[in-house]
Amino acid sequence: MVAQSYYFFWRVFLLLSYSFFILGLLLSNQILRYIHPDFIKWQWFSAILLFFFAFIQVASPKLKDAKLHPLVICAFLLPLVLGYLVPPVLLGADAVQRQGWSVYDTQWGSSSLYLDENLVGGSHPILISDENFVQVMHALYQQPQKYVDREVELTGFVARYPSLDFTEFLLVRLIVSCHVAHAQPDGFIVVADNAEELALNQWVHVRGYIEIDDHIGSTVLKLRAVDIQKVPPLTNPYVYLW
Amino acid sequence: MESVQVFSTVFLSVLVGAIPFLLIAVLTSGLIEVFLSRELVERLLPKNKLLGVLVAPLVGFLLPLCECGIIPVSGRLMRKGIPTGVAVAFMLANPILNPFPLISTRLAFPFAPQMVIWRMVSAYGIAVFIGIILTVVEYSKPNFAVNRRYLSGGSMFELLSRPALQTSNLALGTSVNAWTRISDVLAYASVEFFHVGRYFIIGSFFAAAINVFVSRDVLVSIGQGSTSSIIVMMIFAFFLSVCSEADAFVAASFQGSFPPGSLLAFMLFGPMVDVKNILMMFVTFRRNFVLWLVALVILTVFSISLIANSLFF
Repeated sequence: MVAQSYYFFWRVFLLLSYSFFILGLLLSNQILRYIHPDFIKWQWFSAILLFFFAFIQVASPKLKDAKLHPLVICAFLLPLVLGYLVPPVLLGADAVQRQGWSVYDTQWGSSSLYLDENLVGGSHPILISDENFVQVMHALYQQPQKYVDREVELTGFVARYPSLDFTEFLLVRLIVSCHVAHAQPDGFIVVADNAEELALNQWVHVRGYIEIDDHIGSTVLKLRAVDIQKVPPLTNPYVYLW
Repeated sequence: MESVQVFSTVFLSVLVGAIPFLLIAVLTSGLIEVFLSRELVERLLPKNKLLGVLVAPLVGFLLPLCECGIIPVSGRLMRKGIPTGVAVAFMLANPILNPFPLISTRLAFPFAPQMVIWRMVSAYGIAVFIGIILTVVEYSKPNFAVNRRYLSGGSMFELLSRPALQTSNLALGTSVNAWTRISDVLAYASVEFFHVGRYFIIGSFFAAAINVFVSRDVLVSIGQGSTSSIIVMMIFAFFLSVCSEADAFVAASFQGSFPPGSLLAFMLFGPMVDVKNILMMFVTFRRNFVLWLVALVILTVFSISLIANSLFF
């Protein structure tokens, strides 16, 4: 016969642990390694509510007999163990290997979304930043022919894909819409003589000119590089959809 | 070691990202249990069950829930006397027919705005169709859906008799004092959190493993062809278990590899049935009911996706 205090301990311990784990992520800003910043307020809600759940285990006499199966304890312990013992990593080229990179299929129709002439209009070089990355990529794919030979500058990390030529690499950013698990790689195929010399996940700032090409049946944007500078990795490599 | 770190990051990002929505669901479930009596349900519910089935899929615009949280809430509603067809129509459509997935679908498919319409109309049609079938079946077989422990009434802890939490002498929801009621809501919600949370964690674990260790090139190579790509994308949606707010972006990344109907299949099937919520379904509903329900969802999603592939886009 297992004492009720045993079950009580585990219920309170697990609920408090989850509450403090989330609180720790929030206070250390490590939460951005897992989710989109817009969801941070919801994590505060979670941490507080889980604390109240723990409190109610103590305060409510109706829960004093509640039991907890050992397998449930194990299931709830697993994320905590991983969370505390295995530090989160920033996803990079491995995400491209797993998920490929975004291809825009424009044959189904056209779009007025994201089209901001201030970003891509005129003849000046297009400067792609973290803030405008998603909008610019969509705008470029909306009328790829229009932007052929336009100068573009952006920063990203190096990734590779089996179907690329040895003079090509992917210049990628990961777009987060909800949580990083399903971050989508997006960017350019860069054509450069020294493509093979660049290591995976190396961060580079590239200046080049737009070309369009057909890649496995889809229209893709390529950058003919004229300048590639190695740069330190960004502290937050993700760009956000919203 | 690096792959363990990537797996851990992906696993925890799925889990941490979804916990608030799971908590909202268990809190809603607790509120329903304490404040919604069977008598009130009978008074509020339209006498015409068909009308209920037609309206239920649209409730998501007022009460949006994720595909994990929707299961305990639907089970709780059935226990309170909501007809099975109405509750299932609500359950199937809610994760899709709410503002967030629709906005994200529009953003994920900037060149195919018709995808939003297809997704909305298809989800509504599937939910209503299955809801009507279940309403008809319920005439001859009352209470055929919910797990007996859910229907036993009295203490909710009876339904948790194994293996999550168990207790024997509780009778929540009978008090009138405000603090006691709030305390009851939190007690119910905390128990429900353990009840569904274990399956949510196990499901997230499998989903992360698929995400990290299965290359999409394998899927693309298997799913060549209009029909096979639909099947592949439905299986992928089941195991990947992407939340319905983000699944449109995953689907959109398959543009160029698969036809639009197959992407639609991914965005319809995943929010209705995935590895996380099916585990929860098996503890909330009867096994045979879950199997029939999943079969119906497979058939309807597959048919609509085939039509989409052959006629439109």
